[in-house]
Amino acid sequence: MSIVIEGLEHVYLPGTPLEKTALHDVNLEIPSGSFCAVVGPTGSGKSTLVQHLNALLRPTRGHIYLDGVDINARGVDLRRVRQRVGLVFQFPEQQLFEETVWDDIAFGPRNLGLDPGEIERRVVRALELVGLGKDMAARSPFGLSGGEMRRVALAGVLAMAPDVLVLDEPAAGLDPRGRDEIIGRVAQWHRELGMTVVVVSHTLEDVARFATQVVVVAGGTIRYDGQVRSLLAEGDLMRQWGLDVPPLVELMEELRARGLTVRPDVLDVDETVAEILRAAGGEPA
Amino acid sequence: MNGIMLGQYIPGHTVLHRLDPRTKMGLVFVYMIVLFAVRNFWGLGLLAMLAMGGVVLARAPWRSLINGLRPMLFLLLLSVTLQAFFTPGHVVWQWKMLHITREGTVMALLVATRLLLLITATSLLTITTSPVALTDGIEYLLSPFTRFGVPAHELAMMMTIALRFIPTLYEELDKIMKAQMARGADFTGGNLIRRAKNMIPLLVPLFISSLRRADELAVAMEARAYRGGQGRTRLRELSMGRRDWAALATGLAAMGVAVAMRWWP
Amino acid sequence: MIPQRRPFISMRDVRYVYNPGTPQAQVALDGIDLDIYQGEFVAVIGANGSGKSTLARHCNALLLPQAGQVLVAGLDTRDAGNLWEIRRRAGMVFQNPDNQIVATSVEEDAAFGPENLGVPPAEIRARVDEALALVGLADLRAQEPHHLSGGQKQRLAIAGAMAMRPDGLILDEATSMLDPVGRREILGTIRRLNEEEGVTIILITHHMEEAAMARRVLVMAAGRIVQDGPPAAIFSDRDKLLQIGLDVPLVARVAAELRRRGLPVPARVVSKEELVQALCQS
Repeated sequence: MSIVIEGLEHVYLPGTPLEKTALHDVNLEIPSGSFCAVVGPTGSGKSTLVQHLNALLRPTRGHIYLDGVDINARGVDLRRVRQRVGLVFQFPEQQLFEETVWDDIAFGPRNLGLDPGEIERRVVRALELVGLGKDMAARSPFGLSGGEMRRVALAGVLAMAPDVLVLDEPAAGLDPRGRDEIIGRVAQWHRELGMTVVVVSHTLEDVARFATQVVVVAGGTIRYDGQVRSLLAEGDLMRQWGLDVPPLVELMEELRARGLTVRPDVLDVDETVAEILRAAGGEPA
Repeated sequence: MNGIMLGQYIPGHTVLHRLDPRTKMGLVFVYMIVLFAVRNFWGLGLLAMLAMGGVVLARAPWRSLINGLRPMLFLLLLSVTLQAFFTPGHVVWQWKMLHITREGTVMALLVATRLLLLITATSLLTITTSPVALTDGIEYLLSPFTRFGVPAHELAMMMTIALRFIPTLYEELDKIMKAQMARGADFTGGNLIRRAKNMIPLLVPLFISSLRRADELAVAMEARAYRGGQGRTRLRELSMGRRDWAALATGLAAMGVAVAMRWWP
Repeated sequence: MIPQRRPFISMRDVRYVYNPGTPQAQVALDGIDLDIYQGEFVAVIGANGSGKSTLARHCNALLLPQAGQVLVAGLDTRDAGNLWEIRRRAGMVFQNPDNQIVATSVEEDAAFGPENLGVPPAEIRARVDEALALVGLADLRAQEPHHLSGGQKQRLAIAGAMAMRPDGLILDEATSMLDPVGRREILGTIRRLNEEEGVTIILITHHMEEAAMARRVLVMAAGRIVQDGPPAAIFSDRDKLLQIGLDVPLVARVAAELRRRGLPVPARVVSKEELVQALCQS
């Protein structure tokens, strides 16, 4: 399902002394089936941007089209929009409230008015997708570890069977294993289920390997929209926009500065190694 | 959530700002009592002048005062209406069943003036006194009662922590609400019972996270050697200056005169 | 700063079990022997459940050892009379930036510690000013906590600890909820405090790049310290760390692999600077 944003502007508290333009002149197309990474420094407006995708926030100006339909037009069924575009907030485990894992995951499907048979199918499927065993279903969500709670929260949104999954900093606060695991799963859903995925992150290297499209948001507007590799080749621009340059890219930039002719746009350790070997003219031992 | 202001406080350096919070709280407290003790318009007039004087000294912007009025508007109108229409006496206006008496008019004006002055006085207090100063003042004023078991320090600490976390909890509530809406929850519409049920996905997570916060905060406080009020000093100590005694003297004197006016012919 | 020989933290055969004697019993510390000297910059790494947080909480008597002994600046944590002095000397910064801030303004919060210690008001003022300057928050002294960024909140927490004039700071995963900018602010601040003010730093972290900044790394697994040495030594054996659920900094991986493939990269290269140096010498 494709998303098209046209001329989006969002102003907080207009007309008051605290008026603030969070987003302006945003034009963006996210094609169906992409893995779109939205990156930018804190305060750039990226979180505000993604909350427009499921109509939680309304634009002050501009339009958002889901498969050609303006979601802010009169008469649009918001519940349906929110079913098709599933949004997972940062630290989503904070939203858990039911007595059992099962009930919490079922909250979304119940709100959609689905019949019990379908709800059961959805919950079971969601548990599978996040890698939680069926034995978890009867437990209280509050007795679980932080990582498990996060997976329950994710399952809660997956149970809505969205066409687009939007995740705001899904790996926030997790240790390196946890980060890899969660992003790996998201990539898997993208690959195997054909889900369109939008991941907001302030750590580009987490998602660089999987993203088919990267959008840089800085200062309330879009500064870059394209391929990940091309962005990684522009270290100075990234710094200008307040983005953190991935450590391996920084390594390559420094080697270049010292005269070694390496490409800076590397995505992982293997590429880095291969590229250095090539430039150093060394043959594999 | 930049729109939220803690108790209407507006930082500043006016005369009123620089008064000790205890002075201001004391004066407002007495003012409230006197307001209801005074019966005639001369006395009220004096009290009104006192309030206006305060407004001038505090350089309080009209908008803040009007904001303070808004929550009470309904009560104000209700009181005025009740007094105007239901006080028996010499009728001056009539339409079908409704009549307004001269006594009613007088009473209505009295009630209106009292409420307005009450709101102005308390607004002046909150506009010129920071939440920290207010809690310090309350702690001090309650401390003589510790011997009777009143936990003055603990109450003040609780108020400080509550004030500190209100904006944070507000933001969290907003986020939880959005997260549940993203799962198809609907918080508008429906009858009272439905609305109450709909609050559960909001209140349960907020409650649980607040309990966790409280636990972590307690540990953090202990790590910084917190052990209750015994032997604690303060960054800012309250001290009554000459200005405070002068303000107390003037204010109390003026209010005394206002009360005394009830015995003037 | 060259570490002095005076120990900041000393632990002898410390053991701690959560819920002892019940079916939920969990061994957190299984015989810890440790000396951290005044002025050191030590990182503690370990997988979840390895006991790092429990170790941290023994350093300021938030937890008491069930067996063994913990000395903080020479004071035994089990002696109740030492409690407040220990907590003054060993400051702690926790993971959640919000759940450490008590007051409604930056300077009031920085003053909380000294207030608890009964420091005279004039001196509190001096200490607060000093502490806020040390962490770069002097301009924000009147700011309300909810207007601060994550990095600023953690800096405030550091200031609050520094206002008590501690011998050392223990940071328990203090950067894990921060964005990259915030993390850099904190690391820069503690490095400066260690190098310029001689404050001992114990950094509990799960970021290997952060641990590589320290001069000494303690690796924990199943409640024991399994490795203790400089980052170069610890991070040059990736397999050992993988076995206990950890990894090495990305640059260290690149260096090790390049060396394996025949490039003249010395063993034990774990930092970007060292690797660049090695590669560009030729």
